[in-house]
Amino acid sequence: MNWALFLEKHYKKLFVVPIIMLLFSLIVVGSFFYRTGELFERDVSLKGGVSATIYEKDIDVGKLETFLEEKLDTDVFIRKLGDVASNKDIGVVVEVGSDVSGVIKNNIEEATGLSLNKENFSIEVVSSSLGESFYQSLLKAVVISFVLMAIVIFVAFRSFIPSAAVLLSAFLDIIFPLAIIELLGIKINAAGIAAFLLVIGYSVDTDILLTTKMLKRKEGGIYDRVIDSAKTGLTMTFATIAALSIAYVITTSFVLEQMFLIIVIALFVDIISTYFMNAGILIWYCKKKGENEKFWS
Amino acid sequence: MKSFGVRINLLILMLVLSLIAIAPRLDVSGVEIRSLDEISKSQGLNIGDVIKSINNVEIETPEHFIELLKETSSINPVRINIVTDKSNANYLAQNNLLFELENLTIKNSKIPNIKDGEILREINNIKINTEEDWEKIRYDLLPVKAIRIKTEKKEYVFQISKELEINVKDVSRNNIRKGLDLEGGTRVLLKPVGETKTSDQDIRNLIDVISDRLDIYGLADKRIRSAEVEGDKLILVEIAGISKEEIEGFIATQGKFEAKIGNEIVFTGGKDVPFVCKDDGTCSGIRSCSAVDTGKSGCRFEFSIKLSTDAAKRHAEITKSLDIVSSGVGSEGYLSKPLDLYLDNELIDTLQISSSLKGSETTDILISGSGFGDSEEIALNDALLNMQKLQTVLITGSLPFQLEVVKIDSISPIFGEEFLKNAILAGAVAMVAVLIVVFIRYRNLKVIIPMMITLLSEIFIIMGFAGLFKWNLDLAAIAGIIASVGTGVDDQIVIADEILRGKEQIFNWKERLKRAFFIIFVAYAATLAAMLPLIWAVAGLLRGFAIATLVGVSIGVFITRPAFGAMLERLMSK
Repeated sequence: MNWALFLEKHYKKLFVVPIIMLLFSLIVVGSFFYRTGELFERDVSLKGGVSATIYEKDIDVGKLETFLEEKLDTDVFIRKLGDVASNKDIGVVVEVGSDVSGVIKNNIEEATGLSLNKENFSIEVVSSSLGESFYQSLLKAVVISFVLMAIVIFVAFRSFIPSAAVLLSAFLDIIFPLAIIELLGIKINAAGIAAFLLVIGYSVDTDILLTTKMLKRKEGGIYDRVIDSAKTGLTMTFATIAALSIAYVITTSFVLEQMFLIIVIALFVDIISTYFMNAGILIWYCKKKGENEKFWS
Repeated sequence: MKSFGVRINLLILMLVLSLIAIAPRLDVSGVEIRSLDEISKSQGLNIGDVIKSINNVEIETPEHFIELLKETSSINPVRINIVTDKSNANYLAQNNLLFELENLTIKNSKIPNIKDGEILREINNIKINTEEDWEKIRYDLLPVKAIRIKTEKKEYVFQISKELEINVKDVSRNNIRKGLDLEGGTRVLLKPVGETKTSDQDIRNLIDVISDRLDIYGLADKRIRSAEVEGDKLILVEIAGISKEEIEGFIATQGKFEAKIGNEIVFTGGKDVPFVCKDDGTCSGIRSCSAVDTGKSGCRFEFSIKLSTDAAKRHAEITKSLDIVSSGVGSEGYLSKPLDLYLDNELIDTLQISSSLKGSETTDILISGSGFGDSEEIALNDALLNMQKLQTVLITGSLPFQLEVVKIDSISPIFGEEFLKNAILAGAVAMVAVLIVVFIRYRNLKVIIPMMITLLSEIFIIMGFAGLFKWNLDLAAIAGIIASVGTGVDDQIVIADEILRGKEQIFNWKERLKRAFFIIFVAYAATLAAMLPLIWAVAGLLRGFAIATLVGVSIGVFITRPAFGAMLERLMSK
């Protein structure tokens, strides 16, 4: 199949996909914001509370949860820590949104009959004021990152529409995974936000490749150049997707797991935002520029 | 010898330098000292020394060491049963008999019920009739053990009268320091609370006092630094190998010590107290234990301190106006007001002042306090802990601010170990996955092999940096390394594409590489821009992640990826 020919005929239709995705994520994130007044659900590290990890096998999660909810009189979230590769049961993580650091260890001991010590028990306690500060400071970091990245792109390409297209693509790469995370009911932690910063970095890689080939190269037609850069870009993206999905399956660290999940979703989105949206904008831009050049000469 | 060209030579140079920086050591044994108590410190042992054996038993692991140390140095306080001509007593003694003997007459007694001047008749059911009887048994009364500790450098043999507290870890096999996440320990984020805004100088003072306190406490494996979140100045303390309970109350207590007579302050901790007796059985220790309530025990501790002349003058001034009240029993009377000891505004003990001290500029003061618990053992430990706290605050003075614990994490070492193994596995499998994807695209081993070399070199050089700058490699740093290697793959594919296509077209490789590097540099600048704000965000808790990513990406762009281009050029031109 001649992809260049396909692109020439259909590139305008391809826009539909990213536009639907953009609308979809804006609706999801917007309605979440409308309901809760928050951009996303934060975990203990960004909201304050206690997260306790017990490294013991065969803990009855249901029993522990009912026991703790009754004792602490608040919502308790428990998840199992497992090693997917070897199907090994490693332990459980207990999360409580309020400061129960004084009693939780004894309560868990009472519920499970285990004796907890510094070898098999980890605890993270974050005061709610600090969690809030962390959250604010990370949100600022994301905004500053985006602005700095935008400056780099504008300086590198020195033309408005192609640079703006890169930023739009990066925005979709952030907002769509955010919507998916919200739909999955996952609480975002500090490392999760750091993952969004990485997404900014990864996302612009393929866009820079595409824009450079489209604007700075002369060989081949504009459609050939898109296909040419897609071959390189897709190899890049799939290599990273392959690496991170495997790392996602293997890792036992919840912190890394969330980072990998966010980046993998974002990389899939990036394929669409780069080749369905950014490419289309650039084709349109190059055509227009070409016409103008003809007109003026 | 054939030269590889500048770019590849640079890579080789960096790999060699990294190897030197990491400095792997094979064939290590023993355990490394992480913290020490006063007794072993005074014998010449140092933090960082590698202990090979205790009492000629070779040490295998830190767990083995703990077990062995407990076994060889544990000493239980013994019960002493004493009968004099006037009374008798039964008490616990560990490193001090609590009395001295001269001509079989009790001197300097610290035992309740036994007064100076009484004649010793019997101790632990052994009749004492002559000086010889006493000499024969006096050294067997108290528990003492000899211990032989052998380090890499020398052998130490000494007597101990209480259990040694030496904290150890595995001997490091290289210069890469593992962070708290991977080693286990406690991280505390403290926030000063006060009416005035804390200045940078305040934070520095706080850090000094906390650092002193931890030193006195014997915790040397610590990291303290300032941090800032949303304009709040905070202090981040990380201590390896310690649990939350062991450190929480101690580190955040302000430790405002005040000794008052009535409402007048006689002295406070810090500069009023130039000397505090600590870890010396003759002037500091547990003096007595007894049942206080049904099922409850209490133990009393005592230690002597020296007051500064200023404080001694204040003492004289205040006591001058007090009356003498007779206690009714002994010959000596007491002053009408006692000396009250307060710690963080809480009364911890009240001492009667002997009438002989009225108006005197005394510099020698005996401080006392107590500990309680459900059993005598618990009470003893509680008293020891309280004593240690009190000694520490008297030495270091109080913190200029009250501190609030805003975040405390305690990480189990088991998890760290598991995680590290897991991360290495995940990294290896992920790399294979990348190589498979790349192979599907190019179907050429000449691309795959240099790519693999480049990826491994990148990780190795990042490790070299970690070794050189004594980074703490933690979970966040590992995430950063994964992220930078991820961008490395992207860049290498861009380079490979340009070079492979260069074959078909008229451009020479130099031109091709230049084009590839425009893309790589813009992408690099964008990644830098995205990561920089993280260095300052979240009190630097994610700093490890940001720095690892930035260093990794920089090494990639300036060293390994150009070398990859050079390798490909060479392989393709053949």
